[in-house]
Amino acid sequence: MPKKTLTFALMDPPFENERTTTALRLIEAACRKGHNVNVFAYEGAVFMPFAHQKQHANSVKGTDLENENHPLTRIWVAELQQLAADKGGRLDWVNCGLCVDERGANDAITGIRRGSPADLVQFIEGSDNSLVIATR
Amino acid sequence: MTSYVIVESQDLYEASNAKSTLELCKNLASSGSNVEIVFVQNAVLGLRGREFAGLLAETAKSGVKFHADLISLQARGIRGDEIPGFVVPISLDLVIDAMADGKKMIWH
Repeated sequence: MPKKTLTFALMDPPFENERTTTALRLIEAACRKGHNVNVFAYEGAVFMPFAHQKQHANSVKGTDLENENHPLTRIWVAELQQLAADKGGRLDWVNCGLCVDERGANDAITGIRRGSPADLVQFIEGSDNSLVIATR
Repeated sequence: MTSYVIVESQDLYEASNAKSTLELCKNLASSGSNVEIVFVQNAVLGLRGREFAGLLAETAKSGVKFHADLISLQARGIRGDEIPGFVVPISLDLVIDAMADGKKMIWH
């Protein structure tokens, strides 16, 4: 299948809802197939690539840091960036600046851009298709 | 002919408007569109048992193609023989291929 440009709009914050996992699975499939992928993250989703996410031990389960091996979305996003590059595509991830400022989520991993809803319009206009994964 | 892919993520038992999605699918198919529905997350729970069997079968009879995310099924311990035969377990690659094909996408 020829390379296409696909846009996803995400709203959910990490660590709260299965929609985050499903969204990242969809983005992974798109990157794996070599498509160019745009992501516009707004509201709580701007925390998905937040650079200061840290793994933690779990005293309830009695696991230490290493055994807990808590998954972090910033690592998944970085791996998706790498996957896209490896497959000849690209993952262009824009965090909504207003949403970032409201939440103090300024420090994102390398490669994440700050933008505005105008970027979402540009993404959609320049894409072959788009999917908005909204909170209910 | 317009093609639609509707991704249903809401649990039929909890979200009353998830049933409206099936109604939408049926109406689109009846008006001549190609319609596929993909059940993901807790939406797959409604595929098991008798509670929604009639509604699902009626929607399928209208020409709507049914898919269910295999990982969502497995995560909930739902076996292939527990869901209607017209529901095809799939990987989410199907959604990406549909997007790349230019089908109209709706997430619910």
